[in-house]
Amino acid sequence: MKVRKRTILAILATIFIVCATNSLWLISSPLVVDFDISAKSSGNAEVRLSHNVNKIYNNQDFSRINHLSYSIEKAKFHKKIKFYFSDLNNIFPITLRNITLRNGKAKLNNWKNFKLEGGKLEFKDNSLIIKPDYNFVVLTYNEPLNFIRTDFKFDFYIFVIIAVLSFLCMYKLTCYIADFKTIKNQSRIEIIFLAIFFVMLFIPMSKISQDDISRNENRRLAVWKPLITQNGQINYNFGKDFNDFFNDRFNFREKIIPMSVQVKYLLANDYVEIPLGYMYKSNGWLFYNQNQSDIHNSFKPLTDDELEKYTQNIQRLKNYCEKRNIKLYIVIAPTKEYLYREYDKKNSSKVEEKTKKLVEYVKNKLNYEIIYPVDELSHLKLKEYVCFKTDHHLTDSANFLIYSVLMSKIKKDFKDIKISNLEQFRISYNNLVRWDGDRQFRNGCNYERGLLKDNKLLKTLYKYYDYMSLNDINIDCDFPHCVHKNKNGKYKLFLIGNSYCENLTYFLNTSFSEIDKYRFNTSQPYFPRRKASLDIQGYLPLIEKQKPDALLLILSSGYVDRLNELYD
Amino acid sequence: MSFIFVFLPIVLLFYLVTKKELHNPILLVASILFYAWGEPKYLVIMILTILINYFAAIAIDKYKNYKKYILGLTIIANLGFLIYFKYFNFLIENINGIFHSNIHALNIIMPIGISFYIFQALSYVIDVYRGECKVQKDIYKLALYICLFPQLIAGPIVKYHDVAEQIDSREVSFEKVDLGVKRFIIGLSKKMLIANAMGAIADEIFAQNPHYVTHLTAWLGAVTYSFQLYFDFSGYSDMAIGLGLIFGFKFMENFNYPYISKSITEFWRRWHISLSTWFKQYVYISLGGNRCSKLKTLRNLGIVFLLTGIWHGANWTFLVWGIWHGFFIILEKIFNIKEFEKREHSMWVNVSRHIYCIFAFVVGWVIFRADNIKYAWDYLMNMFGLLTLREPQSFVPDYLQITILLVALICSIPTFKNILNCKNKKVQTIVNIWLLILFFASTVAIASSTYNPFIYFRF
Repeated sequence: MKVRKRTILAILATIFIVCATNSLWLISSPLVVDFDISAKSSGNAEVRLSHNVNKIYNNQDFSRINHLSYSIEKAKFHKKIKFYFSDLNNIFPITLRNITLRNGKAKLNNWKNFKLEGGKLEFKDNSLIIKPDYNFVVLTYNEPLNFIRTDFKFDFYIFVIIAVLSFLCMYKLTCYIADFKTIKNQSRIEIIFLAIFFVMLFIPMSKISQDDISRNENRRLAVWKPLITQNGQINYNFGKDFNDFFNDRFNFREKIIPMSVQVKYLLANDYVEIPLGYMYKSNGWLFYNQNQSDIHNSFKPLTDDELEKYTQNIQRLKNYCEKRNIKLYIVIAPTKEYLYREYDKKNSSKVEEKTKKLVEYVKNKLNYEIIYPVDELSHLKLKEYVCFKTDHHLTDSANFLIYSVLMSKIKKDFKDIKISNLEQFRISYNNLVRWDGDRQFRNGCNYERGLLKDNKLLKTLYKYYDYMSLNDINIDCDFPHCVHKNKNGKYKLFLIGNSYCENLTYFLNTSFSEIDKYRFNTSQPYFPRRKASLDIQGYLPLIEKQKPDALLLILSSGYVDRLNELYD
Repeated sequence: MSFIFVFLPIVLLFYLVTKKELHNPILLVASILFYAWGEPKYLVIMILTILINYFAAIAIDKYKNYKKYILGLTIIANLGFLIYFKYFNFLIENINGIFHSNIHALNIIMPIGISFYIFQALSYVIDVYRGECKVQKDIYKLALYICLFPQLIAGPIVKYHDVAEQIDSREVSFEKVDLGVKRFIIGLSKKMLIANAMGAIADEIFAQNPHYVTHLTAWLGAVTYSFQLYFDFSGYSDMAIGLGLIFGFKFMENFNYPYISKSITEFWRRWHISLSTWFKQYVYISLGGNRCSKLKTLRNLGIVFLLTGIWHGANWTFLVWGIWHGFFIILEKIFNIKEFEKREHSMWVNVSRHIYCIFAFVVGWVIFRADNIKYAWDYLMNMFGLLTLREPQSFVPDYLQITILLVALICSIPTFKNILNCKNKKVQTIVNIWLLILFFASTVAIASSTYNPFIYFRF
């Protein structure tokens, strides 16, 4: 290749690089966004302009602040502005006022242009009232922000440096390619092949996600941990940390993975492995993998030593409660993997040996009855769904049944306690899963963690029970602790449980005046101790303080081994 | 993910745009980084290995009268690392079992790739001892040979005399890069698309108690595991050979369609060639090879296969697997299989020989896969209908698994052997498009493995 040709090619490549790096030499001024906020909740607040990611106000108590201000760096090409409110601790309304841009020079006051995802939006007294359905809402101003001119600053020195360096590098590269020994003899097919391969090789690292969390995976993404820590020490796990960081954040990750799951789902004839578990296309039932030990623990045998230790722990807790005139109740909910084992074609012969053995042993040795309503639920499932097909939790129907069984036992100890009957609930049908935590509970949600999008999976209707006297009830949540109050109740309940307690609490709330509910299986470093452990000693001071009439432990069958660690 | 899409492109970028003089330093730095990435503290073991073998070879070259002793000490030092990290706890376990003693096992984590790089280092000192190559005075070049990252973790075991000249001088050409990329994609696809899919079936079946699976399911497990092993290992070798080509090296082939063999002797000429030739050149020949009495030759073969077995891991199953293969090799030697192979045979004889060989290696792989001898025995009894079954379950593969099984079968015979060298432009275009699709599909498979959802609230 002649020198002239090489120079022209190098100039063209330089122009391309200079254009591509425009953000370095053509710097747009920050866009300041201000607004007033008021709410009774706390959570994260964030403002985004197109794809610009900005500082997030994490764990803000909106009842204590009334104003938020953001300075969005490199704010050019004003297209759409979005307000994110995430990790909300409850679903109380959030009110926004005086949304201004560029230090008050422009106002977003055309309310019709606002659109909300994840809740309902109202406009009242020059205010936007956001009523979240979930713990995560996104408010979008749909009109392009063309009325704000982007302020640019041209950095001449950076421009010259980039242009000169690019030209030198590109000229060198052009020469190198031109001199590449045998390239001139190669067919274009091979050159194109190699070019595509190398482009594909660079795509994943071409953009690193700046997100903090993955909604699909329901977890925080790995963060960057440098080789040299802030204390000046060497991070010997840098390689592993980097792998975690990159695996969570490479380009197109959020698109590629759902695509692969969907392809796998479409190609499978019946059994299909999906993230977390497996599903049968023919019947739509999802089950969790064996490695989800918290679900499959119940199928393991219980040794005599374990049995003795569990029983001793229960006895000790029972003694503690009796001394303080507190009634103790323990509910163990059977797992879906057992209740619906006939739909799990590959593992249909499972038996919840552990729980059955424990319940019988405790009954014989301590003369104490653990509530394990497996027969009642097995009977009910002949008439209606007791578990969600695409989730592992129990339905409202199953929870109402457990509530009835539990209350009939409680009634023996508290003669005047009120037990709600079916007439006190409004019955409706819905295809969404009322799962897990308070924050996303009442409206149900589409179970997407399996990343499957198949309308067939949403055809099943589940019975919803909604208490009709909601005005009597007040719920105050600061996850994992929630206080449920009912002005018509008489007795106080202290409740410790895993996710199976969430739905049941709404039924118990109709009978007790106050429920102090603690969710023990959260991986956050929450009170009282390490994640997912049931260390009762951490709760004892609280029980002493609250002076409840009854203490209730709610576990699913897979969590039975937590009884081992009650007093560790 | 980060190896293929961060480490590799950055190293390639630096390597391909820099001058030839910088190629070795770049590769050495990249190799050390690659090793330190996984477990930095074991870099010390590798550096010690390099230093010991570097100085030992110089001493062998300088003090020719004592070279036998120096070599002996070097071999002890090298194997000492291997025995300590790989077999120490296994030995303790067995001593405790035999003598009813209570020696505590140590918390030893085996440095990744140690079996491969120790054998490479040994190859260097033995080559120098035998005068088959000159001593390497440049420690950086020796370090590059021992820790060269493409084949560091899963082979092939490159012998020093094969690459000594290439380390000093090699050409990076368009053809090599092109062919290397293709081999790399083929290797990656073998691993991600075939081996992993076969492994998922095999893992599920081998996780069951042999009493609870049907005979057919047991056979399916054995066959899918055979494919998993072949495509996994040969996939890694293809990737290593491909990367080697991109960097200008030409490594020896490690697999040559072993499943088409008609005898176990032939199987070992086609399976893990770099290991079998290593044992042949450095152990079998050192013991006298076949230039001694027939009985001694058979003894030498037995020793080689015993060592081959134990090289694969610290478990009795590997030892038994080695003995199993050694038994067939010795049997074939007694019946002079080489002479038999030279003759022409009818189709039926050839089919029978295939069946014999498949039987031998599939049974061998069951022993290899089992956690213990008892499990292997029960599993084999099940396969041959000699085990009492209790409500046995069947594994029914889905369409996709059946398709991949068929693809595995087709790809394990030389159907597309010379397709990369085809000069027809249409074929080239189709092959290239197909390879890019395979690369994309493998990328998707790797990306999917990073998906790690959490069942409860985590944030």
